[in-house]
Amino acid sequence: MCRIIESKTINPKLNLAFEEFLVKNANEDTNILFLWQNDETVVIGRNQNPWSECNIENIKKDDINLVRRLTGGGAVFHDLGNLNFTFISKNTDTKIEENFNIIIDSLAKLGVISKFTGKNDLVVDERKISGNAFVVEGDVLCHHGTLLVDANLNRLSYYLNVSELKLKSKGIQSVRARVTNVKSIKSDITVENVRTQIIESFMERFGQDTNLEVYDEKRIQKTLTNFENRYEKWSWNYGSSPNFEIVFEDRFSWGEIQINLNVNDAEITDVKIFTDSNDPLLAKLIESKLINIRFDRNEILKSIGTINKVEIKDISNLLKSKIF
Amino acid sequence: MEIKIKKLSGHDKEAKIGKICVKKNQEVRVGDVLLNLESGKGNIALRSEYNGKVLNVHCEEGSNVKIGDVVLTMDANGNKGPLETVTKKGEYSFGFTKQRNEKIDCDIAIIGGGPGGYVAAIKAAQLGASVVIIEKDKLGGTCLNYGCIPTKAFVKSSHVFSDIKNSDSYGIEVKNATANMEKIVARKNEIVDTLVGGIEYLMSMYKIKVIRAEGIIKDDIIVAETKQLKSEIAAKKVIIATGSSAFKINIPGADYERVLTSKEILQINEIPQKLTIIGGGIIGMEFAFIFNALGSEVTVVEYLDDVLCILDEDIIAVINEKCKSLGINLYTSSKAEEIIKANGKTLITKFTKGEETNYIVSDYVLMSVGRKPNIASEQLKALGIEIDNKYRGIKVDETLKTSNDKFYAIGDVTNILQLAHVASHQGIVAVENIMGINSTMKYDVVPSGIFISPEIGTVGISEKDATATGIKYKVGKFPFSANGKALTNGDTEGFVKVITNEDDVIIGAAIIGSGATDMIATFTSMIEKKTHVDDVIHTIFAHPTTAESIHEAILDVKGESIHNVSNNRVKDDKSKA
Repeated sequence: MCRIIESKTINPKLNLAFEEFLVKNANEDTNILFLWQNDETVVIGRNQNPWSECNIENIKKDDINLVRRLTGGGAVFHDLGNLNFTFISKNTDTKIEENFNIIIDSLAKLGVISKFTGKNDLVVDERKISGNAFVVEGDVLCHHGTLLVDANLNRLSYYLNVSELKLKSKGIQSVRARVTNVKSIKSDITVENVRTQIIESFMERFGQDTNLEVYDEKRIQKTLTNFENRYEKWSWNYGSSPNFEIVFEDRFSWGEIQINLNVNDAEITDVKIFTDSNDPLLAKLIESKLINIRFDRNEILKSIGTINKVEIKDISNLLKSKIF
Repeated sequence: MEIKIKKLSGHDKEAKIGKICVKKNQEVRVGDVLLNLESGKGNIALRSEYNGKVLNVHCEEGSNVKIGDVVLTMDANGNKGPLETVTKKGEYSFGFTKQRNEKIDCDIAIIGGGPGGYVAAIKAAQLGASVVIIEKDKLGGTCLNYGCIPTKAFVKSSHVFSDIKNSDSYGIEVKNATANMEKIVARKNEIVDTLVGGIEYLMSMYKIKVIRAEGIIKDDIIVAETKQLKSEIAAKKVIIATGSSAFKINIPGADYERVLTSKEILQINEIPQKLTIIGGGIIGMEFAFIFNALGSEVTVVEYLDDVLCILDEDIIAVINEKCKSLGINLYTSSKAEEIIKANGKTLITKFTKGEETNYIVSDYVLMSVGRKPNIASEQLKALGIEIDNKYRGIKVDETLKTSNDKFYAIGDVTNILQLAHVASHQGIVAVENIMGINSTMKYDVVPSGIFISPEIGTVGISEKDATATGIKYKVGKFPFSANGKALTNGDTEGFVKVITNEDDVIIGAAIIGSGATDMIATFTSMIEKKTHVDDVIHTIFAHPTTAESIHEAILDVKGESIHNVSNNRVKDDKSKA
């Protein structure tokens, strides 16, 4: 049974939860096209580390959303010039290709010739206009992608630009690509007409027997009444990262210090401090205050702040300037 | 319990470990995510199929893994749960709670995925047919999972152990070597898994649809059903490749737990102290040599007058001699009557030899008395598919067609020759005929290998065959004791024997000795091409190889072998009739 579902909310936590709900309630007859948009949001792949793949400082400073999705792949930035599409269906060998063809067809009808690359992206003249990712739950395939129509590409690189943290992570790394908006290729294209054309192409391929369903925020919230929304939680968005090691170091008037942290499940599980300060207790005290707390700015600063030593002011500032 | 990676995104064979969601000693339940696997931007959450505890995590985030790798070990208490959650209204399910239906149309449907079925499937795909293969157990069938391959893995382990026990004679000193049956079985399982995985890969590369259920022919379609899925397959032609199963003779005690067939003994978790083998054919003798080498005291009870009695007398003589020196007890012309349970683990096998009654004590009994074709009589009767009176398998013509034009049959279910390579070739011939290519199956030049120590390879006509059919024949022979390479290997028992007709055309061969099963291949081709002895006289065989004995045996037909003084060395050719 074909369904075309449009979301009217731009809340990424609701959109992603709703998408997950649709996937988990799918069966072998499902054939859904879901179209949605988010207000300024960074979305990272399931197996990524946000501290290493995004500029958390800028994200926190501007109060941008950061959510982790269930599919693989790298970090992307959504704003209202970007259109997200999701295909939910039975997992077959040819579905992904069919899905891409619908998007390629739609763009072609609007005068833009795009191509599918081996990296599961869509490009126009070597520039990426759509990043895609996948997850398989049992027999159900969820294939979603972005479509840059009229996005703010400067903001994109501002939030996806890695800051200089000394971090060793085992997560999946984003692959930077040269991106472009579809609008820059054909100036009369808008998110609206791309959306309309994708709906038409989908109906053409799968028959007129499809309903167009519009879900606003209230309707989505009602649908998700008993559904656990993981996207509301720090423990999912930040916490569910692969493990990593991070180093902070600096030189001060009282000496040098190097703080090595092992972070597992976004909790500090190991601390090793090297310093040439004259105070023999300094390293031990800091280690004891950092171990087993969340890798979270406020918690770290609060815990360190209880140490009554003159060097702590410098160390706090160091951590404050790096951890976001 | 080892948790392995069974599948990845699409056709990917490798993936990177993403987030690992469990730790050592963590309790998990069915459906919990254990870890994530990412390939090509696709993520798969590996969910637990068991309730239990994680014992160890064997992989790291960011590392590469492939299908078949062990990622975790678990202590699985309780039963394997179905991957579904009881759904209350509003909760999600994974769509497994309702049986789904699918209807499939194809050119050729094949029931059975063993060496007959999967080879036929690949051939059919190569010729452009749409193919569905229906297999209720594992691809690779008996051969890969319960027969040829696993026994050869055991044979290799037993050879390594023998070599170590004899290492002193090679100047190598080894103390305290022990054989660990669990590790031998684990190695065998890994080999089997690799091969089965290889066939699964071939199926996907050739776009052959595999249905994992028992195929039942109802009217004109094949129905294959599991709890989750009911498939109805409508095919233009059907190939029945359901194989055969080991059977036990119906004597009292045959159903005791430690009375095994070849299938169960391949999973045994200890080396038997004493093993009684009822049935001294190929399967029985292979296991006799394997377990003797591993340290069991082995006794074989054979109904006919010789073990491996299809072979010629001179070969049986070598085997009997070897068994005597290894301490394998052989009782021929003996009929097993009953198996009695004594105290503890002991089983007593009662057998009669002529007027005498004898008893053997052992902790395990292996029944290797034959394999019966897997015939679903009612289904076949309803389709008008007849059974062959002579072979007692499904009756087929030389194109492998049955008495119902739409159905073909191949492999052990036809019961013509119970050999994997015969099944494969029958499969190819059947498919060629279905796809409009004329070809016929011949059984006259089929090589066969017996993996005891020393190995035996045979092809074509034996002396016993020639005598029975009244063909006049000549023999050329060469012993490995006169071959330099065999001497360097310390493996000098046995010989190469070639059989020609009166006109010196090669019609059969038998080799007993190390590497016989590989060497026999040289003769298959010669016999097919009706090679004359003179054609091979100037063929050069490399030195030092055991294969040189092939050349020498052929020379010997005319009394002209170089490294041996021949029995045939007389002026006039005397034909032995």
